[in-house]
Amino acid sequence: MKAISDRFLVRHSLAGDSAAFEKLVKSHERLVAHIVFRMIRTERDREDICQDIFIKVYRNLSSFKFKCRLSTWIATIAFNTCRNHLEKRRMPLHEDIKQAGESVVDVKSEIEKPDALVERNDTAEHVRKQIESLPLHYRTVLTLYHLEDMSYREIGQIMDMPEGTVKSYLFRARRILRDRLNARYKPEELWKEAI
Amino acid sequence: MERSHLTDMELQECAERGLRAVGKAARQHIESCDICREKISEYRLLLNSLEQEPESILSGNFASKVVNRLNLQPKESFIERYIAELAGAFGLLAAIVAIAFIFDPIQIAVAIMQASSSIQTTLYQKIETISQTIIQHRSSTLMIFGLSTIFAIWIIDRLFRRGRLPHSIFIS
Repeated sequence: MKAISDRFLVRHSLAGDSAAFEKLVKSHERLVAHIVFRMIRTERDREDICQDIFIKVYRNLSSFKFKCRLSTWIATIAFNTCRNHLEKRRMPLHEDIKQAGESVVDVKSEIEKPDALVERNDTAEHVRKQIESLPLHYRTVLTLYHLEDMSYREIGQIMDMPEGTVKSYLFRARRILRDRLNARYKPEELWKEAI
Repeated sequence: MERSHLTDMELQECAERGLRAVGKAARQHIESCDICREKISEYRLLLNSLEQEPESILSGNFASKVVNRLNLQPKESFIERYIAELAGAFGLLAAIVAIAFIFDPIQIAVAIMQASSSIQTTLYQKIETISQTIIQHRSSTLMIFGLSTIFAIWIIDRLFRRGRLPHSIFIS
């Protein structure tokens, strides 16, 4: 029921209304899950991190002044929480692009394997796996742009980077993924599927 | 002079937004170039895959878990709040009556009547002046009256419909 506005939910949550905050969580859990599941690779940490994010949202709700969309604000908290988590675990935040490109070579070797030729439905699965191996910022930009329909500006706000950088990351990420798809499938197969 | 192949950015724009995303020369080039068309198709396939939902599923009662962790208390009900307000008003009235009985009630009654009669006279004069002004400026008065009505409805809406009624009516 989208009729309930974010303002309504925020106001009632601030007044200590548990039902309103539960509704707020329900309407944003998909967004938070997308970000967390793309940024955090360890499965057992994911749900706890999602919970921590919403607890931070609740504790900081009074500082939210509707200068941006509520979803943008929550996504910013989600992104920063994941980044802090990765920093604590000493996970690399800015993986080398060269490293991302290297896996193209690995994928190319699969062409020779007969079971590497998969059906159409597997293309999405393959793309999903390839996204996992992209650098963190590329994965996040792809998620926010393609799954959450966010603009370059909003993504820039969330990730604290200029719009131009967001756009550049997005295009480079898609280029890498296309190259990897080409490396896995014969071009004529892709051509057929695209039609 | 014939145009060279499209840049990667142009190819992606074409795949995402269609041929209108690029200039006329680029469009003409695409029509005659199999390589660029193939690359655009590859990007289209990729974009379709990117828009498919990943497996990021949280447990069914995730929202309840968060609320439980916060230990939020359920909000007091609408009826409880109004009973509290009524009790407050009754208490105030009782206090006034008590004060009136402690002090001399007749003296207080006389003082109130005197005060009210002087207020009445002043009010009558003011109302007369206002009525004359209203008659002189009818259209402006009508406009002010309209705006005031809208403002009053907005205040009532904020106080009673959005702010005071129990949230559960709106939240399914």
